[in-house]
Amino acid sequence: MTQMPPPPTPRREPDWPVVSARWGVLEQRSGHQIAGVVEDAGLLRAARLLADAPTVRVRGVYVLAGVMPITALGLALAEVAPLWLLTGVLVVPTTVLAVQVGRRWPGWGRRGLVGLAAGLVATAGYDVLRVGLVLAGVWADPIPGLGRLLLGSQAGWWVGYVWRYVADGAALGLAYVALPIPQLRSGLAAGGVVCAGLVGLLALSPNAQANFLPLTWTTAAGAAAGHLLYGGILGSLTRRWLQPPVPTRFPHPLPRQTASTPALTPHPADGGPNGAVVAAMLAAGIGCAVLGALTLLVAASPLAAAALSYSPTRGPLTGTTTLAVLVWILAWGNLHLRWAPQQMNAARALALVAVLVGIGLVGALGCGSCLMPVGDAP
Amino acid sequence: MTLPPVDDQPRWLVATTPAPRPGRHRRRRTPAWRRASLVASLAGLAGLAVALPYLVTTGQALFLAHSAAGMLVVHAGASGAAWLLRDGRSRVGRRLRHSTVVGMAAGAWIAVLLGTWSGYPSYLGSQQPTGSLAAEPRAWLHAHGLAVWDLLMTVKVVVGWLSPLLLTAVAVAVLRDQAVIARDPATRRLVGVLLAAGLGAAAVASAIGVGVNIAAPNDFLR
Repeated sequence: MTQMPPPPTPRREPDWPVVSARWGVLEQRSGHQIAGVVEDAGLLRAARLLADAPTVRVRGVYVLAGVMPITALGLALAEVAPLWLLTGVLVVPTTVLAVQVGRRWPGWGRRGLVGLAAGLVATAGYDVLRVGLVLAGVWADPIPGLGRLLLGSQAGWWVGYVWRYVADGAALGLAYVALPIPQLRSGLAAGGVVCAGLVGLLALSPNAQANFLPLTWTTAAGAAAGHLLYGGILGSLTRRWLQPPVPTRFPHPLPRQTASTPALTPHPADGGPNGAVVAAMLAAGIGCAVLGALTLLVAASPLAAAALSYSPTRGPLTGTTTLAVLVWILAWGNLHLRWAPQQMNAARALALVAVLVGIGLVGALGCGSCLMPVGDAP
Repeated sequence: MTLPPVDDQPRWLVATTPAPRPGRHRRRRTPAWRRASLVASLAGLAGLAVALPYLVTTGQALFLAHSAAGMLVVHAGASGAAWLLRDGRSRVGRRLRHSTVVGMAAGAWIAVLLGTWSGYPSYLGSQQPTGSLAAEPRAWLHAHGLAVWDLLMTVKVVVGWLSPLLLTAVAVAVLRDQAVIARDPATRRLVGVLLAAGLGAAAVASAIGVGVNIAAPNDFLR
């Protein structure tokens, strides 16, 4: 008679001993907890892969430059800040950055131009509908008011239209073509999102309604129709004109020495190129020099002092420092994009940086009481 | 009744801290006194944060933050300037180096922003003088023949703004390309000079600030 096999041992969830690196204590976790940890790690890895994708930064720059003008306009309509100030602080730096990125990677630059052109055409299509409604007396034309918001009451009607076509329509087209996942890119959805933003702004801010357009069912319906038309034209044009982007490494590798840079030092045996480091140092020197130069300018010119007094209680210091920081950021971005993959002459850069920082010190020491606020004599 | 062997018992019956293991593992365990001092420091900071609104005004608190940030920059940099540019394989050393440069740059920015937007208007005084010189340090200095301190104050505000620009560049370079800095002497010299310049600017601004606060009345901080 054969023996009965032993009953199977009850299956239990294994206890996974995990050594906690923080406290050095032997902990026991259940398999369920470990599965959660593994799933979290997978999600984090996906986020890491997305962040490390070579085109994320270029796309980010284009999207930022594309949405910044309409964001600035929204803030100005809500009377958060003047439009001219927001243009200088938000729009101009991002636009310059996008231009530099387009010059640095011509493939993306051409893609950006396609987006801009498609945005212009789509805005013209939107205006065919909108101007027709204006001529029919359904609503007033708020676009010339944008020009007055930007340049004051003396601005002509065309200033608002230039802003509308270039800063709003074309810039949104630039942002649109930089969006990833082409299969999901939909012009109608993009137009709907922009319209939702406009309606939301008008609903939340009575100032925006007073400055731009009153929110009624008629204006909301007209805006929705116009934005959907804009998005539809934008989507169809970009689908027709765009080629799939060629993946590029960021930064793009360049030859170490070129005929125009004979002073490059040999590449070190170990360690990468020092272009990024030199770019950061030189940009800091440029920022210091700009601060010193502006300080001397303020000392020499009361008009400049008045123009740079962003705050009456703080005087021209606010303007000089703000401009210096902006120039620093722009210079750093530009130099980093150009020099990061190269080996630069650090000794020559040191001499140049010393001169620039010296200009900053001269401005600091030579200004005397130049930072006294205008009209605030002791 | 006999208990089962230790390995099968619930964790709460077993001592929470196992016996220390020899060698490297033993040295990596954080001593109890260090853990206790960390908890005590955090509790003290939390208590200070709760009590601060009852002890000082908003202007005084911002001024304290401005001064503390400036001191942090100067002391942190002076204590480890040369060591910051080295490259090492120690993970703890690398983290300490990164946290130091980030802290220096952050402290510099906090100091200049608080000084420009909170402390400097208080020093300049109101647009319409109140007649109380004690509340307007700049007017007080000129009225008492100490205009040289006002001149030094204008130098301080510009020199102080050089510090965050320079230290941020150094911080990013150390975080991003520490190996390049460590192995290329010319690059290391460049970063070192700018680090010294940034720390020097912070030190000069701090020294002038101390002098102005001694020479001028502090009633404007009410």
